[in-house]
Order: sequence, then C-alpha cells, then structure tokens
Amino acid sequence: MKGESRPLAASEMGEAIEQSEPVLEEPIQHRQIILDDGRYMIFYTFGDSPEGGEKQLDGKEDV
Amino acid sequence: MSELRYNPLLGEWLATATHRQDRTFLPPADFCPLCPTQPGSFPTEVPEPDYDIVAFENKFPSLKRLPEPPAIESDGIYKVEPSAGVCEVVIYSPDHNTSLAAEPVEQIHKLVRVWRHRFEELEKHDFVTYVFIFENKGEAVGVTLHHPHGQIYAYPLVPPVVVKELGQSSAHHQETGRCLLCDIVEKELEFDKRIVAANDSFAAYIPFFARYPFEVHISPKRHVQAINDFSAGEERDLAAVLKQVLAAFDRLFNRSFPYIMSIHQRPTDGGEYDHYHFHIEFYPPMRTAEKLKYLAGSEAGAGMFINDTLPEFKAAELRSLVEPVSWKKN
Repeated sequence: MKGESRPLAASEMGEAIEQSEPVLEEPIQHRQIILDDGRYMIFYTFGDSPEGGEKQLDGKEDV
Repeated sequence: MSELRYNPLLGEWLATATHRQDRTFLPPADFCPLCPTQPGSFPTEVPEPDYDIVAFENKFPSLKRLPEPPAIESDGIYKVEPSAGVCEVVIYSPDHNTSLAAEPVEQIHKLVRVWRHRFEELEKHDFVTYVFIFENKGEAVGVTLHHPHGQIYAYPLVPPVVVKELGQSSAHHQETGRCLLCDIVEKELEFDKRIVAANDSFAAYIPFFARYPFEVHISPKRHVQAINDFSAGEERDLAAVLKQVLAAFDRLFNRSFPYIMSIHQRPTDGGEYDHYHFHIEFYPPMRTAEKLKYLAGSEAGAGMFINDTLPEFKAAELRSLVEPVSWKKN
C-alpha cells in the first residue's frame, strides 16, 4: 500500500546476495522558502556547502 | 493553460502546456535565471547569493499541484483531465559554466542524495503516480537554459515508456521466474564487450538493443526498484559510475556532450512492482562529432529505430575514454 516501506526484493539471479545495510548517513539538510508567486524552493546543504558566502569553484576537472 | 489529453489511437495521455511557449529561451549568461542572485545585480529565480544544490517548482510547469480546469470538455473517445502533478527544476551547481560531467564526484554524490530526497517527498502526494527524474543537456536536445540543471516530473499516471517496461518485466518474470533487467545485466557482464564501466554496485553498458550510437544504460547489479532502495555505498557507487560515463562522453569529441538522461524506477502508487528494476538510460543525439541522429520517419512515424552503428564498437570507443574516479580524502 502507498506509504508502507517496501521490502527489498531478493535477487533473482540464483545467487545469495546479502541484503544491503540500512542507510546510516546523516539526514540530508534542507531549507525551504516560498517564492513571491507561491512556488517552493528548497536549498540543500551538506557538510561542505556554502552558507551564502563565496563558494570555492576549484575542484572542477578537465575532461 | 495546461491539461491532459488522451490519445485513443495509442492509449496514451499527453499534456498540453500553452504557457510554455513563452518560457525563457537561451538567455545570455548575464541574465541566467538559474544563477545565484548577486547583490546589486539582475534578480534571478534563486534569491540567494550562493547555494550548493537547489530544487524548486518550475516557473513554466507542464503539470501543476493545483491545475486549472481544462479548456475543453471530454467528449466520448476524447478524454481530458486537469494536468495535476509537480514539475521541479534541480540546479546542480551555482557555477553557470560547469556541467555534471565536469563536477567532482562528490557533487554528483550530493545530487544522488537530493534525487533520493525529492523522490521520497514527491511520492507522498496522493495525486502522484510516477516520479520521473531526468536531464536535457545541450541545445541539440532542445535545452533552453544552459545553466547545469535537471528536472523532475511527478506525473499523475505511469508514463507510456515505463508502462511498456513494466509489461515486459512482468511477462518475463511470469515466463521465467526471473527479473528481466537482472538477466540483461548478467548477459552484458558476461559478454563484456558492451560494458563501458562497472563497479561493485553498477554496470554501465551500451545495450545489445541500443537505438542511439552512444546510448548508455546504468543498472544496479542488485535487484532494486527505486532510488530509495540504495544503500549508502550504492549511492556512492552510482555517483562514481555517473562521473565515469559523463566524463567519457565529453572526451568523445572533446567538448560538452549533449544527452537526455532518464531515470526509470517503480511507480509510486503503492502497487506491487517487485518484478521491476531501477535503471538509468542516456540518449545522446550525436552519432559523430559533426552529425546528429534525428528521429525521422522510421523512428517518429513507426517507432522503429535505425541505429547506424554497432553497440559493440561504440562501447569499445567509449570504454577507452573512461578513467578511474578519485574521491577527496576527508
């Protein structure tokens, strides 16, 4: 039913595969605002996210 | 004005969205609506001077949380419904000139986690039956804004392509007792020549049945149905294989490579979809550095794709450009 957690389906490849561990990472941080026209906007932040200041733009990789 | 109209010939719904005709179209970088708003500068759609990843409702949505009544009434075989749903934009980075391929794997990992959160939030809506995460990249596929971003359409129905996949997956399971995509992944890993990249959790390959020269599918090796079934390790592995495939795409012709990225997962209507298997499909339109693959008569008119290349050769070409992923040490 909608809203209930779904059990992971066992592999059908004929091999015993261990069930994955539950996700133990910290909850994702997010902040929602409502724009003037009523639309919502959600800002996601992580451990290294900017707090409205200058963001370092290095780390880009040339391909 | 937007509404859903039923096509009785194909048994499918489509959306009309006339207000989208006037949406922002390829603005200059100085007037990019997805960049952060800088003090004293042009006010963009994002009213903050910096951000990491942002998700928001599309200003020109094809589907709306509170849709207006249709402009026309249903009439027998011609059915019309309000275009209920949600359309979101997900901005990958505040940097206007980057792309997902150019971002470090850590940023792609953040995006995977955002996708998961958006999926979980959107599936809570009673009027949402399918959460479709996708990206249109490059003018060649019709992109109207260059700033790196993707979209999420939360549909009130299961879209036609997924209906077909569900049907095929179900039929295969009934016939064999096995998952169709599990079998496909097993075959591709065994054959190996169409594999582009792989890690503990995922296989990226140009499938046996590729319709585009560089059509790549990324599938989890474990049988899961949706993005919120992944473990933390699988999320990282997904970010890693995405980075490898996207960066290899850009190396093909030494420039930013256009594509449509399409994430296929289970519907969100509470139904039983254990026979289905999450996967991502890329449809890049380039067949050479100068030539596009157009959807012409056979494809658009008859639904039969003609691929001018062999997947095995294209996979070898792309695989030779894949490089290992480096994660930053904490």
